Amino acid sequence: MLRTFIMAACAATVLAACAPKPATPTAGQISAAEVALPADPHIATIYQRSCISCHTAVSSTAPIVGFAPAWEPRLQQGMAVLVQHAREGYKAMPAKGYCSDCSDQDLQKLIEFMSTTIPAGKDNS
Amino acid sequence: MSKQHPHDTTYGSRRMLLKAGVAVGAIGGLGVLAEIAKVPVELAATPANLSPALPAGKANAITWQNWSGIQRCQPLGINSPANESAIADLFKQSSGNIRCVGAGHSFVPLVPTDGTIVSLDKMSGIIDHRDHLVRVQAGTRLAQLARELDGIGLAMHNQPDIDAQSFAGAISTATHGTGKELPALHAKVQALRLLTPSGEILTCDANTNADLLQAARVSLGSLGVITEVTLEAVPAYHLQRKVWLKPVDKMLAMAHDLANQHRHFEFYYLPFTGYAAAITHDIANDDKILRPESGDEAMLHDLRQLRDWMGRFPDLRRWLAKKLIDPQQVELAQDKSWKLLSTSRPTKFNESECHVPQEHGIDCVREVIQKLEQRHDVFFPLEFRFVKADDAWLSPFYQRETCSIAVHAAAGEAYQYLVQDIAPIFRKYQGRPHWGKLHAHQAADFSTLYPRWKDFLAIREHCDPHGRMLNPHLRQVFGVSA
Repeated sequence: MLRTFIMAACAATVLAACAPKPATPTAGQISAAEVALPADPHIATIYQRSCISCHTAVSSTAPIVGFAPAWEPRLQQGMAVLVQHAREGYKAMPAKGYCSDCSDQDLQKLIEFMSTTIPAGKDNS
Repeated sequence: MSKQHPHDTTYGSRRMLLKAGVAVGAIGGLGVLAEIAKVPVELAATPANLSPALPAGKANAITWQNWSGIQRCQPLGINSPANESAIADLFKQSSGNIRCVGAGHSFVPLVPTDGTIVSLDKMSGIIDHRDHLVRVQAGTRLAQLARELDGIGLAMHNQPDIDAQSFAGAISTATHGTGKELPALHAKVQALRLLTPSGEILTCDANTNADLLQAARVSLGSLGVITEVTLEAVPAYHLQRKVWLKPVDKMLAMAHDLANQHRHFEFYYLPFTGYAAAITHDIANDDKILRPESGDEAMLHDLRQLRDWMGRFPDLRRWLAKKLIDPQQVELAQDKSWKLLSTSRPTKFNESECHVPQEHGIDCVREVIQKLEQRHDVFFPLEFRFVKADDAWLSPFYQRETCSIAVHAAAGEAYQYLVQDIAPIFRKYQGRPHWGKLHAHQAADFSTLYPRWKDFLAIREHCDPHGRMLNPHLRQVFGVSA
């Protein structure tokens, strides 16, 4: 009874809780992210030790590597803002992204790699 | 192996409170009524009031802070040496204190120093392996280690809830997972290398410097810099996870049986709902992959909403939760062990955890739940886990089969009550606090809780006679004056 009432109230008031969810990557897109690596060996080393864990896991809420819908609104803020967020930490992103020795240039290269769209791989789920 | 439960009727994603999320949001739309029901939420101290306070007027100073933001400092520098010789140079060329940092996931001030912070980020990765014995650089983060082990057909025997920590940081605070027959990570360290402040490299294993091994496995970064460990890994394995809800009294009654029946068992109590969520992991019979979308963040969101809008009336909050929770929901997942055992935790929090003798675990958690729910602003789930005993001298599981009880508060909200209100209950049950989580125990307390306490202090004095690895927090912990 109460549930019915509340559900009706929800529909009527169009609350934030009912708002559409942001796009989530498919299993194929996650598979593709999991095998992608930066071409630069120095950046690849950092990426594998500090970034890959969160940026290939939807549950982390981090933008998934190569998944354009997650990166587009971020890229619109400009690279300087993204580097600043990575350096100083922002929401779930820890300061320096678990890379204490990363320079701003390293952070920018990592962002550029992760935000470059990659096609979805085979869906293994 | 996992046993079937009578209510395994629906298999969906883990948004246990999905309907509540919508419903509570709707109550938010009811204006005045919602305002009346809201509970005042005590916020955390402002950064200016945090301890230790930062000195004013230090231009261009480097600031370090822990993951949750309650610990911070302005060190002379944050150094990332690439090898043992660079660490030795650092000891030689500086005279101040040195503290190592991993992921900054400790909630107590283990890291803050006005000296130098050392990160072992550049010393990461597997060096080599012989059968199941794997030499690992101490700065390797658990997530990276899990991937590299998987690449050679191996895995850690168990993993903690979060895998961002460096390996040295994880063992130094006795980081653990859950499983009645599974000890904490440090128990699988068969050997390690330690660089002391004098520049000496000490190696230890079961045959050489065996006492040092038992002291160093869990040592809070106080003996020197651990540069390498030899880890006993296991063949890679797949796990099947099952999550389901039970009324909390039933969960408490069956917790020991579930811990006996499953390789991994833990439960989360969802405050002011009357329900607990059981999570079991067992070895999977095949390598099939089943990855439902994680509902943990959505569940936290729902619990917070329920608190925000119904907090002033706990009975109504409970009643509504019971009406809206569907106890028939079951989530199944299957994947490689390291993909299921650890998760990212995007919602930051502060935490206190205590390890109590297994026979007292249920009595203790019952009292903790009762105490927690005297505060109407509480919404973060309580976590209850099982850990097998080991022999490391400062292991909270030292020669003691253990239940671990963890209480949390969302980052930005008051957290001091996690210690002030709950610690007396933990003390009553001879609890040993988690070394990295909030606690108020001091040297005198530890000397009665740890049979090898004096032996550890002697080894610490031998390795670091001038206290270069100590900061104010560790001086308090070890009872060493400045």
